[in-house]
Amino acid sequence: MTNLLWLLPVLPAAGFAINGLLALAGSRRGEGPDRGIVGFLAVLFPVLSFLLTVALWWNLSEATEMVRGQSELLGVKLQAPAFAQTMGDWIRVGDLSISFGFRFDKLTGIMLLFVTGIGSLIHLYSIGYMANDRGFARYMAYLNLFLANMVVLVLGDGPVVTFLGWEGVGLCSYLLIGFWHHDESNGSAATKAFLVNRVGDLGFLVGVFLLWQIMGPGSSLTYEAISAWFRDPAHLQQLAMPGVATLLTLSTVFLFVGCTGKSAQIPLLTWLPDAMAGPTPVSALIHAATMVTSGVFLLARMADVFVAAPFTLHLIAWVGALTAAWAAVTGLFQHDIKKVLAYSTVSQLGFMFLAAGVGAFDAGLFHVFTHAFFKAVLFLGAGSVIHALSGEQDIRRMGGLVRKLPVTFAAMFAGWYAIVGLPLGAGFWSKDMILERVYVHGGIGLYAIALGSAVVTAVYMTRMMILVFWSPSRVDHEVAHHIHESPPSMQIPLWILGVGALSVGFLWADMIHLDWFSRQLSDVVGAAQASLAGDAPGHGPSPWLLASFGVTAAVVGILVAFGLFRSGYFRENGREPMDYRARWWMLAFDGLHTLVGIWPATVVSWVLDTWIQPLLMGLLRIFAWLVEVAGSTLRLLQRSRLRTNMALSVLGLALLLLFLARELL
Amino acid sequence: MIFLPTQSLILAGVLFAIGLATVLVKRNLFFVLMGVELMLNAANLSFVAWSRTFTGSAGLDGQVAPLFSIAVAAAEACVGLAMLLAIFRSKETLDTDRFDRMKE
Repeated sequence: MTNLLWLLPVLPAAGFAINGLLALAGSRRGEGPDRGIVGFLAVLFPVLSFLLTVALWWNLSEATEMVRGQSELLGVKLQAPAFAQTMGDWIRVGDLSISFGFRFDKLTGIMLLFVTGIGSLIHLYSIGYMANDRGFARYMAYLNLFLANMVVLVLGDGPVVTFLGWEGVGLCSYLLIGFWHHDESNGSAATKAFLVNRVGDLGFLVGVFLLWQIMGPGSSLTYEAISAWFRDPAHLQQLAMPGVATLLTLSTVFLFVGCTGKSAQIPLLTWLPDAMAGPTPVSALIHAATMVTSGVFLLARMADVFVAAPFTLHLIAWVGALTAAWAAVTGLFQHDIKKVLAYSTVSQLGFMFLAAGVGAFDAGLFHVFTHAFFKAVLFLGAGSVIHALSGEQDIRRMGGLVRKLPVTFAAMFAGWYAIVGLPLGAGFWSKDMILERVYVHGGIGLYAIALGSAVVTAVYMTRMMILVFWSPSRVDHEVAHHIHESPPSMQIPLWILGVGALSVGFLWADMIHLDWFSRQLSDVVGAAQASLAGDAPGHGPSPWLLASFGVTAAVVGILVAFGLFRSGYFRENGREPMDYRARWWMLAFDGLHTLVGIWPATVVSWVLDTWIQPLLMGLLRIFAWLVEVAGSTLRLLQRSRLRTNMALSVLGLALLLLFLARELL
Repeated sequence: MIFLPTQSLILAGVLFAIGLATVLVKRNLFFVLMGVELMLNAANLSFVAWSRTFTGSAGLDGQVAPLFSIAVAAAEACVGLAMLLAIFRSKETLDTDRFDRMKE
């Protein structure tokens, strides 16, 4: 069983290969390849991958139970089991040796369960959503490829293997954002996403190799080795040396930059809202549920490293909190239903980073897990709304859909219920867990920002629900005639994810003593968190009190939203440009990028163009002139007269013979 | 007694020199070809002479080579004259100094 790890990414990759070939083969025909076959294959392979993940998870749980029993029996803590498979050497340069291998432990398992599970559901949903699109097979192939890369990212046994998937998901994100490439703005959104991610990727690589410098050349770059090295008490003294400590801070900051790129945190967050140019299921899968969470995953994966760098942890916490607040406020004045959800994703990712920053990696991952459900259902519901309204995305031209789209409404209501944090929804448990940990370990400042963001989250999410479902209809008459509920292939994922959004929170409901989720992760991040909690104050106020704050925040937010709606503040029906202050706020980071990225690049390219280029061209011309002069000089020897030429060659031959004769005799 | 090919070689050298001079001096392409034939025959002669030196009267190795050479020379003369005719037809002259179209 354990040697089947390679199948996990290979199955969706096979789906990509087959569907890609079908798409190429059918590209000549007007209709493209048969949708039935393509759709079936595209869903089949992710489902197989999901089933394999479940089986592996089952085996791993049994093995863990066995090891746990043994450790109790022997009275020593035994290493938690993990399935590992090494394919062989990958890179071997000097002291550096990187093998290509996969590792399946509890953290990987949880990520894979929802990556392949929700991934399969979204593939199924896409069949209905993309049914009328000319590029159906190409789309499905990209989606399969994305899943394969995401599995590699999660399953890699070291940062370099992870980086392979990291780049791969970036590529698929680019391909899918620009999927409708007939519109130029989609293409530039895709390019923007790719370029911003490249900045983060560079940080990732630099961070990894700085880490390798710290651990000493010759050490192996696998997560297992890295964790073991940082857990080893013998290395504590080495880490305390000022030079090494600085290097470690640098390394972790660079790794964090990598995470900000992929997970859309300050300052690399501008690409995610633009990424909404892609098809809606893509936004659900890549830009909400899976790829963007890889930054949080990486933090948890390297928890042992990050807890050794307290400065970086503070930085992460503050960046997370500020991102959560900024994006929540930005979400308030979006008119595009997908943009609202995009900023909400950025905001929720901020919460996850905040949790990781205060050392609550398991709480962060739990929010990743619940967020995957409720954000997927919100996006898929939004897709269903857009589908029903023949492509309309502006929430100012929606309204009154609660009767016309009951299933979609039910699903989105579940997602809304979860994200605002009303009691017993998934977001209630995970967000409260984060708020509690932030209060205990992070201090009152971070807690206040987080709680404020939670209020704003409730406001903008409720605003969206009001404008889409509860307010009087503002739908165009022509569109209103065509409103229809989605086909079954789109409804089934909505049902499953909607139920998930309400119920998965019970996997870790601390207050009623359900802690299945944290037990699973304790083997992976437990040691790191324990080492950090050592110097934090003891337990704060009762979790019930903090939870009631969280619920109050949600209720206040909802009431504010309804109040604003009553007072007519949301009834903007027009198409007037956005308020300039709101624009300024929203585009602040785009401006920052322009300032530090684009302008310097423009200046450099201007200098290159006006000074360096002519200089180089001048040099080139001089060389060309030299060659020409040499050529025309030498051409004088080449007389056009046959006789002279022959005489010269005879002379040359004679000289050569003379020379040879002198050498030989 | 060892046969010394001195006289033969001198003859061959003279022949070669005459051939070379013809090739270099004559402007008529026809004479140039004749010069080439002379040089070829000079080479043949030295072949025969050296053969006599190294293998005696019994060996024929060095004597066979000129036979091939003569056959090839015949073919070469054939082709050469044919080309000469073709050139003459297109150029109306056989003066080598006029054949300078590859100058530029």
